[in-house]
Amino acid sequence: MAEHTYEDIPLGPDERTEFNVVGRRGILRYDGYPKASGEAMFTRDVYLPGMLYARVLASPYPHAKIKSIDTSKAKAYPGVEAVITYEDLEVISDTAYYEGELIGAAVCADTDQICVEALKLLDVEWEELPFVIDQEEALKPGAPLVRPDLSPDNNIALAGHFEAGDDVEKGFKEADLIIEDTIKWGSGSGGEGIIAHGGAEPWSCVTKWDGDILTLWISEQKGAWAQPKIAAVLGIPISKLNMRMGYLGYSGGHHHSNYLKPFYKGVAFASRAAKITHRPVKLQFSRRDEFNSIDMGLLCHVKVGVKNDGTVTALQKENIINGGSDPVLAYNWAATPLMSAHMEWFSGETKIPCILINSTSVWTDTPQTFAVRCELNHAAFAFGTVFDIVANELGMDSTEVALKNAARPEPSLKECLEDGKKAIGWDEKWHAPGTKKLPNGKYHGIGLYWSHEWGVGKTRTASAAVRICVDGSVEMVGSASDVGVAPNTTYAMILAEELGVRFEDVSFPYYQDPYGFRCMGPGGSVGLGTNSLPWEECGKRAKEALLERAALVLSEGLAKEVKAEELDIRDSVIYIKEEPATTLSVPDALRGTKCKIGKGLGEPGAKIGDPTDLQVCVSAGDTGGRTFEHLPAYYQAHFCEVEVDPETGHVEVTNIVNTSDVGKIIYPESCEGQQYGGSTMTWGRAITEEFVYDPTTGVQLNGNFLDYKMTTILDCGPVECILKETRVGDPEETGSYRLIGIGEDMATTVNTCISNAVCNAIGKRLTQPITPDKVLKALGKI
Amino acid sequence: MNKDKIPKNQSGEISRREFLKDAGLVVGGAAIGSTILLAACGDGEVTTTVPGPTQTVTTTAPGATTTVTTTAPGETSTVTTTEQVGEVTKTATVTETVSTFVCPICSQEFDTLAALKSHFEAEHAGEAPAALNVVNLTVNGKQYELQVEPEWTLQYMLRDKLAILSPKDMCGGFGSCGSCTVIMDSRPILSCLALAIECDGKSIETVEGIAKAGHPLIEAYIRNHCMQCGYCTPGFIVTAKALLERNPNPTEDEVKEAIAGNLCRCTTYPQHPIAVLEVARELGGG
Repeated sequence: MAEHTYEDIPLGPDERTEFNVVGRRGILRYDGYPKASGEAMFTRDVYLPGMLYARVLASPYPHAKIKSIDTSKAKAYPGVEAVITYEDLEVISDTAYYEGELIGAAVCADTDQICVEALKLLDVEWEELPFVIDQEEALKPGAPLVRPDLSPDNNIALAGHFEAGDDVEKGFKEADLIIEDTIKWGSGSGGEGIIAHGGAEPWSCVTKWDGDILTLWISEQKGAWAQPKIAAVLGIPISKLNMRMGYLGYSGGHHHSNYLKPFYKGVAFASRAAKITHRPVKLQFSRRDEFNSIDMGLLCHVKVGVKNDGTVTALQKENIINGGSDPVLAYNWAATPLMSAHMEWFSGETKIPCILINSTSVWTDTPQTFAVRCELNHAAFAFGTVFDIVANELGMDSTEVALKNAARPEPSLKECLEDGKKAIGWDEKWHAPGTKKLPNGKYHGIGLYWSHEWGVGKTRTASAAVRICVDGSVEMVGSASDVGVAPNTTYAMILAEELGVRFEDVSFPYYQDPYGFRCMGPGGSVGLGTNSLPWEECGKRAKEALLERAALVLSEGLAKEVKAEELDIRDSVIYIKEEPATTLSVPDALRGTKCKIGKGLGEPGAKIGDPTDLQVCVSAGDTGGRTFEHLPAYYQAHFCEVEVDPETGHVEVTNIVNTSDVGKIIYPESCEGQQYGGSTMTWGRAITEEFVYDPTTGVQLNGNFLDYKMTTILDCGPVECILKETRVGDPEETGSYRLIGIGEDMATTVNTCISNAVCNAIGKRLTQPITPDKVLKALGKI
Repeated sequence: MNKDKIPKNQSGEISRREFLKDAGLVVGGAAIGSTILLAACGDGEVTTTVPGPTQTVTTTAPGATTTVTTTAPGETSTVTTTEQVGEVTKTATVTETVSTFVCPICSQEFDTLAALKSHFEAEHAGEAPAALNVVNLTVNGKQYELQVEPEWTLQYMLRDKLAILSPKDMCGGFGSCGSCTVIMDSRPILSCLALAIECDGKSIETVEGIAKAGHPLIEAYIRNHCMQCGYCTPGFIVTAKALLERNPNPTEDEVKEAIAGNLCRCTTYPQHPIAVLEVARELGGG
């Protein structure tokens, strides 16, 4: 039950209402030219003189242990420089828990091609062990044990029991109608609906030692978290791990060396190989190697009590969640927060008075489960489906059911629903499921998804620094990877806004030395929510310091006392507020007066006019380091239309409308990019994407981009992007800009909207991906 | 190599020194370009230095003509002409597609190998030999002469040997993502599926060349946010440029069809037709 309520919090005295840079359209993204011209160098593009290559062995079996490896033939192959096995490197495992797992050994050679050949020459004696892919099978008595080392009796990784509000039985008694149903997300047999990241850039790292300092170029999303983990794995101090991150191909939650074994173990192999050979080593994953992490699957039996007006009185859910094969993830991600996510969503976001949720996380011989843009897919799918089921059962308009049950329907949800309905023509187009056939013979369907927006500064661990150079240019210091959300440009807009300089005067170079400051990975749920805080603070402090120095210069120049409080800066020009005609440029302010480096301003005996940079830094502690448990006050509502061909079973998504309340828009084009990008991308989840396993061997059959089918430009219809700025978020959580992230939401939620629309079209709820065979079966055609 | 006697269309207009400067000083330091450097660069590929007389069999795409070229015998020859001839004849018989024999020095064509040989001995005796597996090609307007291994893909040659990094590797050489697309003689092709050895005489264009030429597609792509992570962007721009050359006035559907083979996981798709059609109008096509 929702314990906290949000009211329209008035803006505080320090909060901006007028913006010079933030929210402005037409600002060119920093990464635009480098990416369009081919200048942008990704980790895959790093070539160092004398560089060797490395590749890791992949298990051909879904569950197997290496009894021995004879490396002699591989070592003798021309061009091979080193072969490293689990016997040489403690962190490397000898047991595979899914087919394709990178374990056991790696080879290092002159070329990548020689590595590929040499891997085939490794004489590996495998002990095949029994396996299970399907999570329902895994729970049956006598099922093969996936992780006997961790769960010796059964395949249950973790079980959780969650209750909120009153006893559910009491709630069910108050209901006019009890609905029971099964919701499946990525949990079918044979890999049905299991989705992977399908990132753009196959993971790579390049390792180079300088004495005992390791320089590591890496396709990494969140360096701030990865650096301590990798340093621990390598057994070196964090201070001796020099991580270089920059341009990063779409990763969508994948390239997290902090959590995912293939990556930190890949670094371990590469760094050892570099040590042995005294040469830089580049370790590259193949496309097949990239299929090493999947989304969590959900099989959920749901029982809902509702009143005839659409009010839900009680909810009971029995969840089975595929936790994959990895302990770190199953415990840290798949199990605890993510099992509770279902409760968090239903209790935090709705007025449902009685909720009971049981969740069981199951081991299977599938890859590590992780955030596949994002880790809340199953919770979002369940959430979006439950209310659609309720609306259908009652014959109600699902937007009305939304407003009946949302914990905080006003103002954010209501505005999103109103705008979205208008854009798609909901009132004219909505109909009861399976009742509208178009003149072209196809079924028409229209669907809704709604929930809160997410992506607040939950993990306030970012630090940042700014340097105002003597020529007036401003350098931002903070290592971060790119991922595609134009993060550096967005942060620079905030800094320019706060500091009062022109956007053009600010630069934020990629591939910085990390010994400065580390931003959160922008691709990791909380990028802007977290990183906006230190940059805002940096801007404020730098402005203060700059005006202090300007005051001294002006005092001397005007031969009267000028105080910093009397000054302001706009568009990189410092001026006296009372007499705006009296101005000072930033370089002139930095000339100083009687200052001495290191001595502070105004010290006697200092040289006059020595220009010095101005540096300001903000550590993570300065912005809080807090964790919030509340769901934010911001909402999203998405609408779509589909046409379903009853003859071919083909589903065409003809129209999508995204309505997202992000609190405050920083970079409008980038926000919209996340809207149409996420919506179009998740078309694949709804319609085509899934793993295919061979049930007899446990081998994943479609680990490539021909057979794992992602959206192309011909697949999805147009997307209309509507952004809202209600600014009702709690500044404690959303910062003074009261902003919230947008990057994950569409990809996580619009597929549910498509499912709901298909259900509205044909009157049957299908599991994703909604392939033609499923449609035809549902229509009784096959 | 006696460069002075070789016509421009064979040697290109740059000296070997210039070539090495252009090709060799790459990020990776895997210097390229000459037989010697290839052998010394230590990347493990077996390279053959052929000081003697050679006949180079250049097989172009399946179904196309196989051309046998004979180069001049050198002073330090260790391979006899007889063996060479025998080998070449055999190859020609197997493929059964030999139609002409082209002199590599003066490009004169002959119907038989014997005729070419006579011509060669009469006209070019004593001229410098060429190495095996040498391709002459133009990349972004610059001419290169490269010795390549038969298994090298064009993508590998561009990235690892010429440090032209824009043909990206997304799908792993399966030809399923379009990220490595380059323009070859006005057609967009997948450089991961083309062999470098097939590229003799070809003209290749990558996004580096398109950007250097200041093509309006670059600005249009930036302005319209046609990139997010940017990994696939070069492949899209290259494909779009080839489309506009072929069809200066495309419809939105034609743009979509042209770039349907390019995958973008960030899914920036809606922006691409906007940018390409803007450029078509700007260039006067639309």
